[in-house]
Amino acid sequence: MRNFISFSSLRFKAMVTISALIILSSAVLGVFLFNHLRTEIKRELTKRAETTVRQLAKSCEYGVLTENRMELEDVLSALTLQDDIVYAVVQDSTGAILTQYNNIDAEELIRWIASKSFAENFISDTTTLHYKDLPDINIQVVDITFPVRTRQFDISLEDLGTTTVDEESHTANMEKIGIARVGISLAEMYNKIWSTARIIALIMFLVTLAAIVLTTLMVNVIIKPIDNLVVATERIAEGNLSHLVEGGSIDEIQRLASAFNVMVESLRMSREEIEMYNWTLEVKIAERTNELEAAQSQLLQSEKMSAIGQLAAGVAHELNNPMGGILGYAQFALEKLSKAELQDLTEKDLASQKKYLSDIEQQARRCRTIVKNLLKFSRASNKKDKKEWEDFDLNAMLNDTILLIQHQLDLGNINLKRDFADSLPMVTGNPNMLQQVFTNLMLNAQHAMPEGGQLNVKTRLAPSLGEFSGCVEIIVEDTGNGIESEHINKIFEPFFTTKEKGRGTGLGLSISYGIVREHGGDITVQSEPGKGTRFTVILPLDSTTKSGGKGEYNPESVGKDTGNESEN
Amino acid sequence: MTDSKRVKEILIVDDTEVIRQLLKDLLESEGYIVSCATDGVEALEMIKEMDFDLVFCDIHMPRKNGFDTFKESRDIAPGLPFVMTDSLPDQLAESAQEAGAVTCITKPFDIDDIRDCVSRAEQCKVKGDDVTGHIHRRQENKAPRS
Repeated sequence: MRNFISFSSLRFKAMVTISALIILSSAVLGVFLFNHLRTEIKRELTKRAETTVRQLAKSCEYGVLTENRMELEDVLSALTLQDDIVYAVVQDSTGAILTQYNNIDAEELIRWIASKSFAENFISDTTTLHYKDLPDINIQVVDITFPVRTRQFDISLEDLGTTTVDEESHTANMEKIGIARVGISLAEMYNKIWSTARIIALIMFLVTLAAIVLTTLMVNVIIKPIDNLVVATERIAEGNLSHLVEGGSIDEIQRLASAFNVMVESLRMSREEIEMYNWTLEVKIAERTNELEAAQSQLLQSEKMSAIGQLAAGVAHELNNPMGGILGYAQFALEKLSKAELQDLTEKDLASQKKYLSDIEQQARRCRTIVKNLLKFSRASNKKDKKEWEDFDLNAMLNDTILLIQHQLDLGNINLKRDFADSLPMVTGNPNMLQQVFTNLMLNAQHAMPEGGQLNVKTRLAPSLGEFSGCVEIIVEDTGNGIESEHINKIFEPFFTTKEKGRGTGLGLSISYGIVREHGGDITVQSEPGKGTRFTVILPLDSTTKSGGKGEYNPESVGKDTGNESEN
Repeated sequence: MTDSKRVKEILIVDDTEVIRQLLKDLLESEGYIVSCATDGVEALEMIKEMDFDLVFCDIHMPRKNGFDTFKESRDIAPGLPFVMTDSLPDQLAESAQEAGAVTCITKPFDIDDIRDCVSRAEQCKVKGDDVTGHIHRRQENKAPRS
C-alpha cells in the first residue's frame, strides 16, 4: 500500500483535505456551541440570582420594616437550602447590616462583608450585579443586590382592616427601606460550563472521527478503482494487454472502467493485427528476397550467357575470316586441279596452286593462334604457376614490344615517344605475359587514334620508402578519343568493349589486368574524352609481395593509384 | 563504248587481307578487273574516282562500316550494286539489303556463291533495274573507260 503513504498521491491529498475540512467544521461548530451554552448557563445563573434576591427583598420587607431580626433570620435560613449561595445580607436604609448569612465560614468573607466597600451599594435604587472575585477565599461570586421596598400608601382608617389592597390602582409610592444582597458562587456555573465543554469536545471528537473514517471509506471507494486503472495502465504500458479492470459501484468510475477495457481490448486487437501484418510482411520479405536472389542469379547467368555470346561472336568473327580464306582457296584450288589435265598444267598454274596452299596454311595457323589466345584468356585467370618467372630488364622488354608493333603503329600514323628511366632495377616476372599486356595497351591506344596521334610510353622508379619496398611504374598514354566516364569503370571487365560487335573480344584489358595482378601489381586508368587516356601499370620490385592474387577484375580499384593489393 | 550490261570492274572492300586476296584471285581468274580497298573511306574515294560495276563490301570495318559505306555510295554512284559480306549474321547486313543492296553472304563462303552474286548483279543491270530505287541511271552518265 505504498500509495497510502505517498505524500503526493490522490488518496493522501483527498484524505488530508477532507479531514482538515471536517476538523475545521467541527472545531468551529464546537466553539460556537460552547459559547452559546456558556452564555446560556451564565444567563441562567444570573436569572436565578435575580430571582433569589428579589424574593429575598420581598420577603424581607416586613422584617426590615419592623426591624425584626428574628424574622429576617428566618427568611435567610430558607436560603441555606441553596448550596451555592455564599452569602446573603440584608441592610437597612443606612447601610447597616441587619442580618447576614454566610455559607462559608471564612474570616475574609466576614470581614469583607463588614467592610465599607461592601456598604457602598446601598445607594443604588435598582438592582446591581457584579462579578466579584474573592481571591483570598478563592471564590468567585455574582454579587447581586435588590432594594427592599415597601409601599407607602395612604390607607384611610376606613380601609384599615381590609386586607385586599389593589396595588395597582393606588399610586404606589415605593420607598426603599433597605437592600437585599446575595452572593452566589460561580463555581457551579464554571463546573457546568466546563463539563459542557468537555461533553461538546467529546461529541465533536467522536463526530470528527466518525466522519473521517467514513470519508476514508468513501475516498477508498472512489480511489480504489482509479488505483486499479493506474495499475492496469502501467501493466498495459509494460505490454500485458489482457488485464481488465473492475468498475466498482460508482457509475462514473464504472463507465471509465468499461471504456478503459474497451480501449485495452482494441489495443490488443490492434497489436495482434500488427503482429500478423509483421509476420505476413516477413513472409513476404522472405519471398521477395528469394525472388530477388533468383532474379539476380538469373541476371548473372544471362550476363554470363551474353558475355559468352559476345565471346562467341568475337570468336566467330575472328575465325570466320581466316576460314573464309581456307575454304575459298581450297575450293579454288580443287576446281582448278579437277578441271585441268595434268599435262595441261603450266608453271604458272603450279605456282598458283602453291600459293593457294600456302595461303591456306597461313590462315590455318592464324586460326590456331586465335584459339590459343582464347585459351590463354581462360588460363590467365587461374594461373599461379611462377616457374616461368625470371628477372628481366623492363625497358628492354618494352623495346621489344614496340618493335613488334612498330609497323602497325606506322601504318596508323602513330607517333611514339619513349621516356624510359635509366638503370631501372630488374623486375621479376613473366616477360612474355607482360609483353602481352603492353602490346594490348599500345594497340588499344592506336585504336583510340584512328587518324593517328601521339603515343607515349614512360617508365620510372618509385623507390622504397620505409616499409614500402618500391616499384616500377609504366605509363602508356595516348591523345586519342578517351573513355567516357560511364564506361571507365567497366573497361577491365571481361568482354567489355566499345568497339563494334565482332571487332575485339573485349578480353584484352581483362587479360592484361589479370596478368598485372598476378605479378603483384596494379593497373589504373585515367581518361578525358576527346583528350586522351593514360594507363598506369605498377609492378612491385620486392618479389615477396607477389602473392599472385587472382586475376579477376575488382571494379573498386579503377581510378585509384593505391597500389594496394586486395584479395578478390 | 563499254558494255553497260556486263560487269567488268569489281571493287573489294574488306579489312582482312586474305579475303581481299581470295576474292581478287577468284574474280580475276574469271576475267574481271578487281580493285581493293581496306575500309569504307578508301572505298568511297575509289568509287568517286573510278567506275565500278559491282562492290563486295564487308560490314565490319574500322572507320566506316559497310552499311554506312553503302548508304553514302548512293550519293556518289546511285546505281552501283553492292554485295555485303560479313563473318556473322548481322542486323546491319539486313538493313543494307532493305536499303537496296543486292544480297549478303556470310564468310566463309563457297566460291560458287561469289559467282552467283556476280550473275545476280549482272541480271540487275541487264533488266535495267535500279538496284537502289534511285531515279538516276549511272550508266547514262558514265564516261567511257578502257
